[in-house]
Amino acid sequence: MLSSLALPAGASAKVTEIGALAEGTAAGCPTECQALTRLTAYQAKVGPDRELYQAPADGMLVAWTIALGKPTAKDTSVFEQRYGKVPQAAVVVLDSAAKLSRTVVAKAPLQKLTDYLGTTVQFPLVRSLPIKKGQYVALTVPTWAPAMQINLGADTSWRSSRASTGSDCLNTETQYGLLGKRTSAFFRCLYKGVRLTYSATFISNPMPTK
Amino acid sequence: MRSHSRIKGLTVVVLVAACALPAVASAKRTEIGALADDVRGSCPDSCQAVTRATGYQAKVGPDRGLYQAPANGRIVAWTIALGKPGPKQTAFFEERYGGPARAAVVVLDPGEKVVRTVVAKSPLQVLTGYFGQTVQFPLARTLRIRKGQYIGLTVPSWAPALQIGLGSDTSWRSSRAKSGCSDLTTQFALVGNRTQAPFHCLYKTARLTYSATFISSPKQPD
Repeated sequence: MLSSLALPAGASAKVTEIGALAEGTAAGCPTECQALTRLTAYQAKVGPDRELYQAPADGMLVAWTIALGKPTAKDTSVFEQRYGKVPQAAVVVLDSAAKLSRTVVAKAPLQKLTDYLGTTVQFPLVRSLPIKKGQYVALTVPTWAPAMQINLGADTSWRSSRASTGSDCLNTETQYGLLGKRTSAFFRCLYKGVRLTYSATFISNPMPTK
Repeated sequence: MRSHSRIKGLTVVVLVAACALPAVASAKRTEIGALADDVRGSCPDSCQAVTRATGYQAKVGPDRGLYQAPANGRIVAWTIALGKPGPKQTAFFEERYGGPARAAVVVLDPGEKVVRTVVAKSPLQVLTGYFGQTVQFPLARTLRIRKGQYIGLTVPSWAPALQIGLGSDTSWRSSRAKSGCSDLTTQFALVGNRTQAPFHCLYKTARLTYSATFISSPKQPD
């Protein structure tokens, strides 16, 4: 007989925040206001950590979080005029292949962000997104989203779905978001010194006892 | 080295301190009915199981609201701390109560006179492979829940998810008929078209060993 004090064998499945945002993580607006525009992006590195936005196991994304800056009225007006009336974003799951090719394999509905500017907001998902070990959690922004923390060390960087030809990595106007039928792109554009201020709530699939 | 995209033409505003943080986080993750490390189904020692019922924990010590949603939101996963019945115990339960151990989490809307109605439910989960574990099941379709609604557990067969021998201020309620509170064999679980029952039956000194992961709906700032 087992002792009545015996605890269950290790907990199976675990809630983790992929890309957890530390307390001081905040988007630059309004002080130094920059926004993500018309792309799909993921955080490639935060300091020495290269795997912060990769699923640690097979499981589900059940919610996502974004820490939004609060642009001034003037900044907002510029963003709206250039990139669309409503700031929007969605969390997506990217499968990785050779040569920085990434493919969207699951995506959440787009979320309007206007009412949440200046807050850190968590959106629970109606349908969870399946994710496999090693796949990336990314953000698709079809218009604009003030979700960038700037002036960080060069060992913190993110990648985007923009074309890498010529100066296209700095082309904020063309739509490079992986939307509709466009599900795949090369993520060659790398941007250093910046943190995208999003994370996702992950629950691993339970493992039956052997 | 490539630099990140810079939005040209924007005025840098320095009126707000650079260290200003976003306003308080909107939406919050909570474990409804969080299980302490020592909470688990009592098998194999004093092996009891929940059978053919929908149940919810009414009280744990002085706390009556432990299994009620603190706000509107969604249940994104559920957890069950399962005892580990021996082979003989498992065979006994399977023979009497309808095969393998199974359970699902449900959302119960409270009505008058302890009537509770299932307003959302997860798929049934076979538990056999998880005996002896505290296991968490993420939901492919998360469940909507409103403030004050209960998280219940539906067990159409049996589940070793009962911790016994606790104080009399800890109790759970079941969907069993008032005249059959001790009837472990009749099917009283709220399954199929049966979505409503009065939860008159109260069982003291026992804890159902389940919990649910809740995320509140985001609130728009004032």
